[in-house]
Amino acid sequence: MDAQTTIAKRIARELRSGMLVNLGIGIPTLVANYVPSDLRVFFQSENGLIGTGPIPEEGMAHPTLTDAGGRPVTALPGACTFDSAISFGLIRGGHVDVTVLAG
Amino acid sequence: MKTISVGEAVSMIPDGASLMIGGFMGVGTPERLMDEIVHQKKRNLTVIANDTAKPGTGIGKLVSAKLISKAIVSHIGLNPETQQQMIAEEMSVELVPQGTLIERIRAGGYGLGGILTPTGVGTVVEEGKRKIEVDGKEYLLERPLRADFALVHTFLADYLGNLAYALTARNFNPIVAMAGSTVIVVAEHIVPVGLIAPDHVVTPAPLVDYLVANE
Repeated sequence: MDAQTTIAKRIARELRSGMLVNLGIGIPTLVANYVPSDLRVFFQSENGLIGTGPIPEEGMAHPTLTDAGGRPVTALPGACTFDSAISFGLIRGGHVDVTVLAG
Repeated sequence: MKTISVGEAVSMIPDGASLMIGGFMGVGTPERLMDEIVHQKKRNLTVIANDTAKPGTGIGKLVSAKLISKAIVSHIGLNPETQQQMIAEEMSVELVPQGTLIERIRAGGYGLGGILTPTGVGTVVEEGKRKIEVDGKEYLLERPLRADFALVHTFLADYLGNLAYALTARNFNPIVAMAGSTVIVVAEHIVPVGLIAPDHVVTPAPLVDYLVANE
């Protein structure tokens, strides 16, 4: 296991069902891959999405469904989208439970 | 609300105009308006937007054509051309924290005299700004932003100008639609009046001045 995977797996152990989690760019985005499937964690992408899913299979990318870096993502069942004022209201207003940042 | 061609829409924008442009790294940016602004070579523009995207995408097209003299944005880290023009002093760049930028635009559109935010207290962001204490906590007074034009991308528009957005292309669009003196909209689909259910309209029709006809 490489260092990045070790870090991502360790952080994933901190997450609990029902948490709203914002993942930064880089190693933090890997964390989503190691959340056990029986946990219902809500991942926020600050460009306006809660319920961010994995990177789409080839040919399945949607031009207006991306992460904050503009890369294609998917939306899990139960996902929701919103404008940037709501997105940063969630963050500034203290509604996000966990933020994972890379250095 | 009038439906016009993309050429007519951009011909209304004078050199030196201020533009608020929807989009987030190009997603949800009205690309046809960007292409036409480049085509008509509108110069000396002030752009207020989340970012300047990447070269060849969205607002990045205006950067490459050197049409922007001032950008008020949350980051330029993904567009090396913006960075080069800033260092060469061809473009002035005001960086605003993303959540503060959207609230300043919202304040402009909602008729507020500014917003109080804790973001930036104790950092370089607070330089030159009034600090106001509310219930023992410090906030910065951030001033409202408005622009001559708001350039909006939407998923659905009806012929009255009601707008409904889709997925992560919503971002800054409904907020800038409130804060531009003239609002110009490009829609992926233009649909009959009544097709967008009242509860699904995000931007009410009276805010929209011009809808760009699809080709």
